[in-house]
Amino acid sequence: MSQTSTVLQIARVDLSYFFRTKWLLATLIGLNITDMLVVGLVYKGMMDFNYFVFYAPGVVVTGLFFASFDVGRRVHLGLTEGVSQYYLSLPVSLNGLVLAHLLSAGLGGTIYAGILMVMAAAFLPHLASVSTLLLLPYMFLLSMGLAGIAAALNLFSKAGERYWVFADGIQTAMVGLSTIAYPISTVSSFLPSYLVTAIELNPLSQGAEALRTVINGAASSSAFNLASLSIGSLVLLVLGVVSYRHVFARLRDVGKI
Amino acid sequence: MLALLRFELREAFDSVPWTVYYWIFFAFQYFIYGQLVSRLVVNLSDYYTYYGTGLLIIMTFNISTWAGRRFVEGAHEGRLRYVLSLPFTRGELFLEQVLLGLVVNVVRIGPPLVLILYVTRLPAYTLATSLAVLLGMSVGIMGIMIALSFVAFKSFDIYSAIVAGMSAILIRFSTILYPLNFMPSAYAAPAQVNPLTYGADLLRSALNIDVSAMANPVLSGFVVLAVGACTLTVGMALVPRALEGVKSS
Repeated sequence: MSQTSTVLQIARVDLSYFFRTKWLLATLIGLNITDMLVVGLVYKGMMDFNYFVFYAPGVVVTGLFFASFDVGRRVHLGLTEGVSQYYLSLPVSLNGLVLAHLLSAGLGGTIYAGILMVMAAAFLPHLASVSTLLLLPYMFLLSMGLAGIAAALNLFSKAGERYWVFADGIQTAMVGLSTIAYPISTVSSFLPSYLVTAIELNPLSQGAEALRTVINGAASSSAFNLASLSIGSLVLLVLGVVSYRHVFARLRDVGKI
Repeated sequence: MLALLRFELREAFDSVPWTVYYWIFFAFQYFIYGQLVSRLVVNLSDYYTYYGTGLLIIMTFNISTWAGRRFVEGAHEGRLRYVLSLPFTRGELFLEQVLLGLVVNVVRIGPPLVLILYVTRLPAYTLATSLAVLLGMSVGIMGIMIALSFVAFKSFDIYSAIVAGMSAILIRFSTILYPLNFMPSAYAAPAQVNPLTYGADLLRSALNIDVSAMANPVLSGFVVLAVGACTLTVGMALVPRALEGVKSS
């Protein structure tokens, strides 16, 4: 079996773990949909702009983030249950194993976000457009990049329940410090300028703003920048590659991380 | 039973990161997310205070869910077999789990509650009333979660899905994050039969928060007490039967 096909096999198996618990997956999708259709719609009546249109792209990107971040959970369990040790015994290089995990994270996030986008398009017809399809490769890159954060977490949290605390904390901070739930104008009137810059550069903000420009037109978002989205995702992806290389190399050489 | 409670409490607070995380989570949500969202809400005066109390209820809900999940995880890890061999009834075991959840709840939501009372300059006696409301709600939610453990003994995935689904529905279709009069009628109808609506409104009554469309505090108090009593009774009746023949994975 060639190196490439082994990598694809591992990526397929890893991805299938994410989609295996169908009940849970259906519930999580339902949770995101209720976020859009309940929270978005009720807040719309409490605000002076159409919050539903603003919030729905944010929910899609949140879904993408949580789905791609799930690779960290799978690797964490794999490390404690010996699955990663088994992968290392297969005829695959260290880079191949890293690529397989990041590839499955990218695909998981994109597929999950795709499902949410199809649901959202039923209420926001502009989402069903060629522009959305053109954005998909960037969403895939974003999803792989976000998995890089999970990889860094796998590296620093080691074993035990610290991983879950860190993962929860990082997810809350990343979503809270982004423009998923509030516009950049509101953020800039409240937070110091260095935090506003960090929020603008946050890949989650860039992903949400990208979808908002598809729905409302290019002039609707001052924060969106495709180059920034790509560079931010690539930087995180490199972080992911370095972290997973270190994790798997240490596991191969020492037997634990 | 008290010896087991003491042991489990020590174990629960061994995990310092989780307790600290709950406080950091609250501070982040209250001081950043709450501040930003309340600036966007223009049709409700002082949404920030409204949001803060809602956040307390969400935390109570999450901690109560944790207590239920911990119970079923104990069963799957084989710990329950040992606990069942100890000299006390299964009804007492259920009570011990509820007490454990209550103590953990007080430790984890106590500091955030004090902070909200300080920020909103509410009198000190409201601490006791609001804590009583939150713990009353907590008993009801924990009762449901532990009573649902009979599902988990069949399939942990289905249990997780039911808990996640229930959390989504109960929190979103309630007055935790928004008052009833802002909900479309299709959403207001389920919210009116949701016990969390009454718990949230009762907490806001206890804190003297002025909200235009709040449920009657007497009715709310009755609902919170009734849900707590019912789930405790059902749990004590159901759990001993559900525990029969449970296998560890």
